[in-house]
Amino acid sequence: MKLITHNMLTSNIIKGVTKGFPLIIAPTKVEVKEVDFNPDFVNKMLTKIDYPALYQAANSVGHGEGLPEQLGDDVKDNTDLLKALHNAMLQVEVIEGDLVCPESGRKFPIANGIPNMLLLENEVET
Amino acid sequence: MFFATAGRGTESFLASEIKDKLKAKISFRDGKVFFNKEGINPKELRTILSLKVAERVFVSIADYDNSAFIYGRRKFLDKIMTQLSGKGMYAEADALVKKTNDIICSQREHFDWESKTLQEKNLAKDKTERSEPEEKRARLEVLDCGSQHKDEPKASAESNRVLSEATYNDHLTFRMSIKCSGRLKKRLDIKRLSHDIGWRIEQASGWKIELRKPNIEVCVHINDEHVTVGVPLTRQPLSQRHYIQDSGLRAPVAWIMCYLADIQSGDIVMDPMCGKATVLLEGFSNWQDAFYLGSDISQCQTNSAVQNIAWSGLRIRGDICVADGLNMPYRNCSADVILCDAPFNQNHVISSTPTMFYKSFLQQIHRVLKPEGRCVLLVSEELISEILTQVLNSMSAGEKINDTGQIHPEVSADSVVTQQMASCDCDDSSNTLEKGAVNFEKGSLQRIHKYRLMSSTQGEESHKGASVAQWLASPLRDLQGAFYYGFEPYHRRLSPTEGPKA
Repeated sequence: MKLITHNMLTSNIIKGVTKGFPLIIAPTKVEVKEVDFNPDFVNKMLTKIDYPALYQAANSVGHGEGLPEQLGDDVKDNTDLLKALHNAMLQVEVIEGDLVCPESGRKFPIANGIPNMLLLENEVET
Repeated sequence: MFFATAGRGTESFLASEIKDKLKAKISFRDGKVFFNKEGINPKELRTILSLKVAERVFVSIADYDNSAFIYGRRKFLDKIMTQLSGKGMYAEADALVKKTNDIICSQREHFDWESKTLQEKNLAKDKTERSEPEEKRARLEVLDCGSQHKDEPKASAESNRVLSEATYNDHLTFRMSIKCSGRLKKRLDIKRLSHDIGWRIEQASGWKIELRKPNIEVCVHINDEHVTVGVPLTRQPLSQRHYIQDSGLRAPVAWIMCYLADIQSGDIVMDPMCGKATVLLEGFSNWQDAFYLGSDISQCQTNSAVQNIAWSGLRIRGDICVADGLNMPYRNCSADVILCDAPFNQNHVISSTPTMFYKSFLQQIHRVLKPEGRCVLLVSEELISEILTQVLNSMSAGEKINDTGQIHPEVSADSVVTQQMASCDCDDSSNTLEKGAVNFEKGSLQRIHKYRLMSSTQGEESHKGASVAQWLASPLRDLQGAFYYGFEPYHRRLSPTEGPKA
């Protein structure tokens, strides 16, 4: 699971959970897999993601290096920063571990890089 | 002169693709698109080889109106023999096939170099996981090389192909493949016809008949309207992508879905029922600057999706999750594009009626899509008008969610653009749909998303199950069969009165 995916996942599908975002990452195995760097793509993605959640996620998996707590206006042309963001969003992958719902504590296992977001019937709002 | 074959209902896409990419004059009918390209250069030939909607591309040997000749066997035979006696077109075909072969060989070297290690790594794993039909296909392909290769169908198929394509001599070898339908079917002895035509072509072209392992195939398609004779440029169908190992959906259809979704750089593209991730792979191979997120409720499917992605050798900007498509664990307004082969094929049963299924599915899509997001669904033709109504309903559902304050899609007061795509042989349904679309535009409903419903459900089953040889032999009829084959089982199973089978 890449952190950009994490940025889109929520556990508000669980009954009673209202926001469910961002999910807490409890990693046991993290890998960095190379993806071609494209500054335009990173810039566009920044408009779509929730940066505080990405920042938090990157730090929780131990790959927050080079990321500022808040993004300034100078991101666009700052290649070093874009590369760090690229790394955090696309290259860092959680291979094994858990995603934890911040409200209910429900764990979603990540196995072989694939998070399992399936719920039991009694957890779903009907 | 060339012609390309395409799945039924996709001809118009192929026609516009050829028009765009080759700037050639085109005409199309019934699964074939004809285009003319004089003095073709290698670059254009490469373009032809990279056509996405085409099944196969042929060099045309002959194509004429058959309607005057179908009433007499003699008349018909005289005509076809005369047509096939000229030498010029064989020389042209000969040159083109050889040129194409050179291009493919050089491309393959390039591709092999890139992905060899990956393939080797995955080979052992593939063997056990490979689905039955594909194994069959690979086996049939290597049937001629004896039994020692059986253990490694993939590798030997590959080497066999390279070998046979690399060793074109001065004299090409060929075999005949005749498909006949309509009036003449009963009157003609196909075996004899094949022999006679084969002899005639041997005389005219200088090629040699070779039944077991020919370099090329001469395909003759006879029906009441036309006789078309052509030589395929490549042995493998173009629709067989080198980056897709085990496809869940036909690659040209997947390409059309992505094309209709108008994927832009930086888009987040989701397939909430991605199966083996065929659509995502096809999307990524052609529109690389987007992020592709696939999920499926079945872990077995997501595992093959991950394997497929690994096998492709592409460093895909994307991810796979296990998640329920009817209860997507995604934030509101997070996707720019949602693509989905929603009706499924034979292998999947949904747990409620199609109506209920689409109701909740469309609500989910509506919630997850960004304002101005695009959604392309592959749906069954029978359900298309019903789904259209539901698209309307999901609009109001969206507003309800909006009231609770959880999500805030910007609602703009445009009309919804719905288009039916890729349906050429069911006029009834396209009429209903157009009506629906008109009502849509006249109504005061507010647009939030663009939906495109494609209704060409051609089953990939025929392609998977059919041997390569059969496929070569019948580029047209098979697809027609496939159309219905892919369609009926789904419908039978999911008809609301019967209810879904467990």
